[in-house]
Amino acid sequence: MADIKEVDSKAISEPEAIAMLHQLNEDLLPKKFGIRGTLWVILLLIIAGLGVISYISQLRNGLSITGMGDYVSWGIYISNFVFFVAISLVGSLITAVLYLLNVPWRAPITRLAEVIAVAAIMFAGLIIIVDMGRPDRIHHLFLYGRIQSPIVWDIIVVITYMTISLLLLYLPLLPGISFCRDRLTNVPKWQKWMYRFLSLGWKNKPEQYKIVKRSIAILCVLIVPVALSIHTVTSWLFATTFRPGWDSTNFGAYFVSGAFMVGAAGVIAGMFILYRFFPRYDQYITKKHFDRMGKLLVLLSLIYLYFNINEYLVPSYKMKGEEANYLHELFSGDYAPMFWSVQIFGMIIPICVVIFKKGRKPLPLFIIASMVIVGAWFKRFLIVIPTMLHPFLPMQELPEKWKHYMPTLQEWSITAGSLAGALLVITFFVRYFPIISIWEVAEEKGISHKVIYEHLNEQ
Amino acid sequence: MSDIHEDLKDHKEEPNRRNFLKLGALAAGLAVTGAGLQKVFSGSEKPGEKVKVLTTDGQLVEVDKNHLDHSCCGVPSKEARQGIPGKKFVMVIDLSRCRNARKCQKACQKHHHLPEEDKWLKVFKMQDAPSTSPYWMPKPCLHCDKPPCVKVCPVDATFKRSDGIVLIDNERCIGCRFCMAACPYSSRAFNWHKPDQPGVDEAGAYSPETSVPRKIGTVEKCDFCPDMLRQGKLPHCVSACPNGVFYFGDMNEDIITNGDETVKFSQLIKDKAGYRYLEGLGTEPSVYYLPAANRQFPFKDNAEEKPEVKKS
Amino acid sequence: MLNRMYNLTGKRAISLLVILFMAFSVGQAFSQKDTTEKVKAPADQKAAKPAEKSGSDQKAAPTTGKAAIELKVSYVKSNDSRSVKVHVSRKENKKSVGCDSVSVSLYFDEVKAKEANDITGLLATLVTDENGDAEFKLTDKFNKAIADRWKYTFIASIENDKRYKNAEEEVTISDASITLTFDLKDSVKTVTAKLSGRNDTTADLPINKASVKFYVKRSFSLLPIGADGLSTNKKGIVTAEIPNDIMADTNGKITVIARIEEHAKFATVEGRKDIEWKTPRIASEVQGRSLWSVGKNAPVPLVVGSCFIVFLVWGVIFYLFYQLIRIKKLSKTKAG
Repeated sequence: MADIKEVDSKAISEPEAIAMLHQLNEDLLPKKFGIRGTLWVILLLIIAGLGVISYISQLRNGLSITGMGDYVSWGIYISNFVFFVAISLVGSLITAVLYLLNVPWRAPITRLAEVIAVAAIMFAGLIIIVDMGRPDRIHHLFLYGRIQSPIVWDIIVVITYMTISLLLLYLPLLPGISFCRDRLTNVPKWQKWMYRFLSLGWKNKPEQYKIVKRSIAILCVLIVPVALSIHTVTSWLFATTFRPGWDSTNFGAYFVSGAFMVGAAGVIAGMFILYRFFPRYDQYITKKHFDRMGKLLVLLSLIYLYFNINEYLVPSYKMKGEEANYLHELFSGDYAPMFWSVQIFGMIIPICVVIFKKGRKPLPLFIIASMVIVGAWFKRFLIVIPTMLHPFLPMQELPEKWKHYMPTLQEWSITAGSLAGALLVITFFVRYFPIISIWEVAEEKGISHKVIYEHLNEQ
Repeated sequence: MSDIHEDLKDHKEEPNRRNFLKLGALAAGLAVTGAGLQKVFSGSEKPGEKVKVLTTDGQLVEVDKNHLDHSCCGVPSKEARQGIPGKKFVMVIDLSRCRNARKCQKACQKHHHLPEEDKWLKVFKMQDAPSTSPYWMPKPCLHCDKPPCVKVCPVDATFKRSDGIVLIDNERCIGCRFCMAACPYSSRAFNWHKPDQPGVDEAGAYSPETSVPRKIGTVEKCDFCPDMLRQGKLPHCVSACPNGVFYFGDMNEDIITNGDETVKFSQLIKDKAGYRYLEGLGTEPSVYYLPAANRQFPFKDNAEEKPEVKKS
Repeated sequence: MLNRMYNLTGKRAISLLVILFMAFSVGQAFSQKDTTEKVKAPADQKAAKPAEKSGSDQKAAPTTGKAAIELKVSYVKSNDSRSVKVHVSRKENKKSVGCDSVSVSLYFDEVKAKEANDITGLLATLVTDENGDAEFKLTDKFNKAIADRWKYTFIASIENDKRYKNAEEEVTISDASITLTFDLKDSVKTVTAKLSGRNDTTADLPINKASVKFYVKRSFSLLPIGADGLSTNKKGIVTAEIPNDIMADTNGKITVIARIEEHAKFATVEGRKDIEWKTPRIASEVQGRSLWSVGKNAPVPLVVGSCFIVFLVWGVIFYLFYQLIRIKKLSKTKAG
């Protein structure tokens, strides 16, 4: 397991290999953004800034600025949290599962997957603080933490998963940081300092590569159960209650399968951006990658479809008392348009399109992936909110605004801000670090370890 | 994070009004009990300074400070977590007697300084099947023996006491609202904005037993009025009901009372086929219901107009 | 609406404005606009109406703007402690409503104030609670001072109240007492009450044909025991059975009470006595380890299981952190 992939290194001569390495370095080291990139960053900064302003207003006025009430006491903050947790699962999927399965084409996309995972899990943690009524008492969780509560389990697994994801991002990145340190000479001082600090003085030694590869192997085994538990525990925040729609033993598997699907879609979307907007990246992220990720997406969507059938068909066959009201609301009531849109555009159509080879070309696949991501966000909304509107006891004599749930502008703004924030993390990563792992691609291309160790850091 | 506190400071009323509210609290919050000032045979108590209190009908009168009884404030958090020794409280609600008078609710709202939108005791119009007759169902917190809300609390902010009462420590609560999602009886309410609580000294000592002063960003609910129970008095809803719907007592004594009648709990439950709401959930509530059979009043839909929420 | 406004005569319009202004300013000052206005209105209406049934001895001339009230005085003697209770109420929509925060002066024997150390005169000033009740417990000192007397008069008086008319009410009581004794016959516990009064010559005068009720004290109320309609015999004695299924209190006792209620001559007199009670209490629910108990009482498998998993995973994580340190050290060594 120590080596990611053993290849026949004799096929490429040493001078050829050295030339390829230099080409790789030239192509994949981070570069300054063009006008489009700058505009994108500005747009994200504005959205994130508006979110921060709205959050300050929430800190001053309490959660009354949201559309939540005593019945819908969890709103889009929570559904957004579930979305972030779901999308963060991609790190374990692409990196760990493909690694453990020894899939040969994974090298150019693993880091992208890990960055998405780290950004999502960071903002999952932040958005849950945003949802708290008393964020000033967050230390109570550590002072008085109560192990019986699924929230405490969730905090433990989120912190654990974040740490593992960061390690899984950082360890394979060490050579990449050292390349930046050694080759990017024309950059600001702080950037140089950052590379120097983060590279841990990496010297491209075989022993160092050995440690990194061994650590990656350990992490890939470790991250799978942790990733499964993070989303399972998140599903338990709902499934441990009595409420119709949440009271389901299917919830863990249902959430995990949905998370894998949206995670794969997230990576496809990221891949497309790199493929389309970054010069020469299409040499590394190729149509072959889109085709394979498309196949993976179909497989994951079919699994998710299976759990959806379990989740909705079985209860609607029984139509048990309180549950019947909730299901009617989803199937033919107020939430029916959203429910059917999400199921059709977010799951059925993607399966139908991507199952054909033409659907797995970069642009159609990107469009489908975007539909899956948007559908997945609203699916989380549908999991959280309609259930809260169907308690056991009737909802009587309520203030009119508590009978429905309509997120306020500030709520949308904070949610959009968090999404923009996660995208900013990914964007800045792409700006300052090699988003495609140079040494792993070099290995994948069949360049011998000897050449990598000796020549990768050359000027 | 400190913005909430700053905010609380920002919104403090001008000194005059605050001072007045404080005095009002002595009357409304702590209640002026019939305490006596002895002139001749006390020796210890001198006629103290005069203070102004706000009467229940909204007038201002001057009374001697010594007459005001301060003994009814709740006990501190640490003690409030223990429960009253040797007790196990139980409530029985006789649905056949309820005619939606809402005195219980009014008394509850008043004593816990609750605004209109926030009701700890709700009265539901229930109908079990389309062909059956509707009835009124008052519902406080059911104080379950296996409380799902307490199970999920991450910080021990809500807790089950030895006397069966489920309380919330609003100085501990982080406002995650998991307990609200977990409660199958919709018993919990949240302070979405700075609580509107006239007559309460917001800087005053807090006790989980009185749930006062209420605090922004925390969860609250019916508390079975443990401050009253400590004084050997019935919860406000029980004593306010004109029809004797609510019985309250100690399970260990097996005696409950609605203020007028005192009966054996086990006997009443047996004779009138008492049950617990949603028994199938296994939460084991401390509140029992007597079915709406042989009603004292015919069902009349006298529900009040739906309350409008004040814009804060 | 506008038409009606124009129809108002000037005077009415002005008075309306004044009332509105008052209500507004009061409302602003109290920030309790709703209640203030609501309450003010009936109070003004009352003033216009003729005074309704009020205190028995209404001395002061009726002053306009003040509402009539009813004042009740009652006397309760429990073992050796005596107390005087007053209740102040007014009529609102034909219902009796308690008046709170009313100052009531309580006098002994005579209304005239006397110098200190004389028991006659002002005893106390009481302030009613929100139900209109106030209670005054007579001190031991007072009890000693009246030990050689057997007839007392208490006078309650409301004077110069801002809101209500003056009222006065008095109650005269003959002293009586109830002593309790317990018996066990054929495993049936009984309680016997002896009711005795006093007069100038006899200190222990049996009271005949007085209706006595028996109770056991419970947390929030008194549980009636014994047969209905019990009354004393010629010796002033009456007996009741104590049911066996009564639970003892935390001290393994129960308190039995025998009482004559609102007797014309003796007012309310009760005797209380504790008795050791064999019936064991149900042990209060012991809070063991459970999912709903406090954090430190979490179920052992949960604690052990979660700690095991956390230590295992974080052990590996710390091992990986150590690997980072190794990488850094390898960078510093020259060999390789």
